Amino acid sequence: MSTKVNLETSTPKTKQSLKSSNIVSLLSNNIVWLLLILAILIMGIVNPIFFSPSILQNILVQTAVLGVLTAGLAHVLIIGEIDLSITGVLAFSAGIGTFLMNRGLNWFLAIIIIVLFGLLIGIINGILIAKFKAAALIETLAMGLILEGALMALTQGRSIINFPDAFTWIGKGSIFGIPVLPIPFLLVYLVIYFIWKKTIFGRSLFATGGNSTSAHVSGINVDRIKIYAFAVSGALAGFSGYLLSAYMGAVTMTFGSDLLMYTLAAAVIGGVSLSGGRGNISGVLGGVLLLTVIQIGLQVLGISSYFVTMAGGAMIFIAVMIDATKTRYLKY
Amino acid sequence: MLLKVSNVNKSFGSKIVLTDNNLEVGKSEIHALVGMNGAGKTTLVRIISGVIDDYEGDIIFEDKNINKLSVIERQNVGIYVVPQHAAVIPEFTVAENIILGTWPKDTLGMVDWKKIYENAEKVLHDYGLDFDPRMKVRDLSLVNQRKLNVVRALFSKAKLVILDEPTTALSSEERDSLFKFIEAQRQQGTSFILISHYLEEILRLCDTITVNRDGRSYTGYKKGEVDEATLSKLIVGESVKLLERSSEEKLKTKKVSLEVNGVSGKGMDNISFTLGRGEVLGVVGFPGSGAREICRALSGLNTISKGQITLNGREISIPKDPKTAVNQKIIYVSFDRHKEGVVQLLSIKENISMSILTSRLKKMFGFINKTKEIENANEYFKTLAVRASSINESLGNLSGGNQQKVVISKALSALPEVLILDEPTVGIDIKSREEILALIDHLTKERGLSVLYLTNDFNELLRISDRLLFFEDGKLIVDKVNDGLTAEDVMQIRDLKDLKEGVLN
Repeated sequence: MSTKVNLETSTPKTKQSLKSSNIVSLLSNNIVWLLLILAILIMGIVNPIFFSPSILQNILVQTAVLGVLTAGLAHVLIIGEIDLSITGVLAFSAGIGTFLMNRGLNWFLAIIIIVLFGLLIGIINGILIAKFKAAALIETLAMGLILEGALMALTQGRSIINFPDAFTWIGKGSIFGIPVLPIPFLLVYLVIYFIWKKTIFGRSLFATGGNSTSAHVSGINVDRIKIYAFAVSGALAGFSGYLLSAYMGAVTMTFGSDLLMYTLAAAVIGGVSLSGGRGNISGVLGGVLLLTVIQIGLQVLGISSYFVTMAGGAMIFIAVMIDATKTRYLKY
Repeated sequence: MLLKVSNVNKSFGSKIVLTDNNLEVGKSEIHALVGMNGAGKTTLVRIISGVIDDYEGDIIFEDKNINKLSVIERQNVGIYVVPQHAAVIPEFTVAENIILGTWPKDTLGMVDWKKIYENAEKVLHDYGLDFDPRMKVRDLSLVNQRKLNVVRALFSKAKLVILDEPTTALSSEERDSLFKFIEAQRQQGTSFILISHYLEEILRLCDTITVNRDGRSYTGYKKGEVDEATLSKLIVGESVKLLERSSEEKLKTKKVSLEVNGVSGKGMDNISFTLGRGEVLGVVGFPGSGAREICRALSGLNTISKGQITLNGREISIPKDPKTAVNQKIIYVSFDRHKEGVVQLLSIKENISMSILTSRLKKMFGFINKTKEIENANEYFKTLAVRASSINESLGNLSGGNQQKVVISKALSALPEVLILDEPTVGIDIKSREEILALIDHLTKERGLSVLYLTNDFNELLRISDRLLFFEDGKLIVDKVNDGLTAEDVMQIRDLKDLKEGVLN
């Protein structure tokens, strides 16, 4: 049995044909896009109306708010934290901006205030979590509740309406027949793509999320990166609040509150790891599109609205299980 | 024969990891499994323990084929692995850790605590250990935690215990005490597979040896058949030349680079010393002696409450965090690679760049200079001979030794004036270790790099160090030039107070 062998390094290095494993990883990294294509195909086969340009346009329009919101949240998920305040930020910053606008504030300044307010809340979250070591889950939950409550207090249960056209143009207007709303949405993704791939901040995000102690020892200012991540999340939540109020033309009492679970689900389906350090922005884009396609698809297919939530939940469930299986498979 | 591994093959995807591996372990035998990082030792252990269940070949335990058994079933027949990172629950007591999963119940179905402690006390006594079963495990020393792990395995009726690098981060005394314990258990009839990079301890302790190289096993070597040189040749596949820094270099007078003056802080009491330009200064001391504390304090990881630090004649601010230290060109390589060294999810290149993102790689508007990044990563990838397909490979795919090379590349990329190496060769095979030592030797001569070197491997320390600092109770007690010291000398100076005072004169 025992093989004593001479010392010559006789074993030739096995040439690795990386081809097949490359294809596997390519597929598994883009699983969300496969699912998206599959979903569109199935819906289109069942009801060809789904292939019409207007529906596809509609998908982009309806994804915009969820998309911008999720893009911000992804920064916080990448560093291994969580931000449950985003829907509160979205609601209250839109509320305060439009409230002031209806009392005479210039529409442009109102937009600036909406985004800055979100940024401010993000920075506060970041400081409390990075410097004061507050638990993100609870801190942002509390912050979200405070802001949702603040919107109720502000509106006294009534909706804020009657916005100037300049304010709502981004949500309702169109250029050459193409709706405007998808443009800021896609621009946000383009900018984030470059930030994640090419900048020091982007790299630091992934280093911090992958192993914050290692990043710290290597001279990365981990606390500051965390604050920045929350700041981006807050600012984009504010911006998506503006987009939603412009699209709806009103800020209601429960404005945007149903988005929280969908935005988390979209990020995870898009391949962002809840434990941090893993994710790419094209996956997030696929995730938000997939969720919207399913929602619209169920409506187009005429499925009773009583089933829509359940079907959405089931779809998220399946996607997450596929993701988990993939992680398991690629472990070695 | 207790365990027989027969013609085991394993590949991950298209990558072949093990080819026709064989080994046999008899009853009451200590079997060594040695090899370079990435030679397939860990994979083989995972196959034996059942963590990996899709392999070719047969695992035979007590003349029964156990291929079909799961991890838990294999534990039930008597195969236990004690992992490198001691698998204990720190917040539980010693007793709870021993009986974990098999809580005795009283008549009401509640956990019977009295019985737990009685049982545990008896078990500890039987295995010749004398610590209190009511103690929390986090208060145990590292060596006692490792022993506790073995006890837990034996308590669950293990017949074969696999120890993965059990002596990592232990002092030589602790190592001896662990070996005595293992030897005693072997005489009671337990068999062991010991994975280690310390050939000296292997040759002392083990009855039979298997060498893994490039996924193949060379097995059947018996105690006394091989010596250290032959064994290291077997492991590496070629003879390894041990680096020995020339005594000329060691004794040369050097210009002062770093001057530490009256530094105090947690675990440090008024420490003063100088480090010459191009000098390698060895640091010796037990855990808590101030040796590691001063290394970490200079890197901004421990707080300094008082004192001055001068670098190249200019006083520098006390490093309050690693970023400040890195900016001042003082770079630390941690003893804990997993926790403080690497980011597994990032690529080799991205890991190497971490220390220089805001300095050498900075471009306008916060962009990363990609050309420079690739150039820099490739340079160290080649210099340190990292074994990987390219700098874009994910770090998590690399073996421990190669990950450590990446950590050192990251430190060197920042072009340090002072490099603080804390156990830089832990868990690294001989060849990589000598490559790293040679590089340090080279950089001190060519670039005037100054090095603080902390390790418990005194032979290694003496080969590279020009001078040694001994620490005790937070104080620097001996500062001695390495003029032909031996490992015994080092231990004596460290242990004997009288002698210390004699040397200090």
